[in-house]
Amino acid sequence: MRQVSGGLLAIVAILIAAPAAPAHHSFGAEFDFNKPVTLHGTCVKWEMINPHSYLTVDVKNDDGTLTEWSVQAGAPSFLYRNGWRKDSVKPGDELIITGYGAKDGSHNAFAQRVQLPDGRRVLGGAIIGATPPPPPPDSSAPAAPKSNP
Amino acid sequence: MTARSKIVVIAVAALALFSLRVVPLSAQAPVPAPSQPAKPPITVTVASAPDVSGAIPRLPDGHPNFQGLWHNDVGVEALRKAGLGDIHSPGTPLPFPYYPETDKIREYRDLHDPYHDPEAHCHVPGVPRIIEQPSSIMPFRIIQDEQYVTILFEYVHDLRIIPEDGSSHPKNYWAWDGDSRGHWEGDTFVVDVANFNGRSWLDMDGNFVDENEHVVERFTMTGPNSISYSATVEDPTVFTRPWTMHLNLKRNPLTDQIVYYDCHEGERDVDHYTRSEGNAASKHE
Repeated sequence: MRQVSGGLLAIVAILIAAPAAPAHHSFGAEFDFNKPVTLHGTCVKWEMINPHSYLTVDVKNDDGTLTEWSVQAGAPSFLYRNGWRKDSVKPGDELIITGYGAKDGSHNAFAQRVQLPDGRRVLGGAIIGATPPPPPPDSSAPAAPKSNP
Repeated sequence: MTARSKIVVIAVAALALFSLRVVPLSAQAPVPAPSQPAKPPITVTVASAPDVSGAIPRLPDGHPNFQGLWHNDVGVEALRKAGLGDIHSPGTPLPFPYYPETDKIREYRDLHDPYHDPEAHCHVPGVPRIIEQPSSIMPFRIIQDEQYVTILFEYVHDLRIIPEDGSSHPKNYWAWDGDSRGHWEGDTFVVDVANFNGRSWLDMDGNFVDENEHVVERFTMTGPNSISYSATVEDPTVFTRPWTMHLNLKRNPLTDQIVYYDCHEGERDVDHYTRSEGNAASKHE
């Protein structure tokens, strides 16, 4: 499985963005900051739903088999303000997801950053206490909302 | 939540830039009479310096015009030091004046039972949590006329309609958000909130109140894009004396709007809480 974990990765991830605390539930009760993960996978399903969006990805293991991961991202409102749209990801897209694994050992994770097929790296989860950052500087990113969605 | 995970979060929080002070309340706004007058109330500031630039917009009746979309500027580091949020480290003194008995309840919930935080099960957060925690990332819109200040929250469709006439709270009524009655003290909108159902937590770390909670909120516009907010919380059966939380509200870009948020639509989180987090149905310790 192309999964990387370790303290160095955790530090790098921390420098990218402060770890998230999802809006309605405890991050620490579900996910583990001691389980940083990087998942290289193929998108199976993209659900831009409340209260958290989900990416279902197939991650290839070293023996060639596939493991399906369910990766939680932020609420649509947070993602929308950060340039995501419901067509930002589609099945078959190759994604690189950095985040944290579930405490219960399941193949669930919290997405902190997602690298899209075009190379853009976008915030995956909400950062508590922070002003919503501007959309990614890449000109190919969707425009910021200008009217009621 | 394990101690180790919280330590990691604290390390992360050190990157935040927000300030916090816990100071005696000698120079602060008046608060309700403390239950133990010998001890001063406690102030928790979870905010950066307010923006005081520019003139305050006003309605035709002369009162400050709060209308618009707002969020708070609470930061992770500030929340941690305040003992609020999802980030308290065991062993770190909390500023909240619990009785020994109620502190044991808080500690148990923090360490062993986050599963039963009502917000995890999609209930509205209560006051002042609705202003503090979710509104850091999900804004709220204030709509105001000469009779009511109405707050529409993006978070779980929460709604507060606050009369400005200083009328009395109803009898034999309680609710998650209690009952809010406002009046003006100069340019400050003061909201008295009572009639809570007593089931709210103040955060994800087990801080809590009961049905005797009473809150006095103060909204003071310091500039066209900044509101100074405070909430003085007293609950004589949970806390030994009142405490006050200060934070600043900042205006969102004019192009921003409330975006639909729903807690129930695809909720899958609490099922992943383990038994050690209070989820008795979990297969995982």
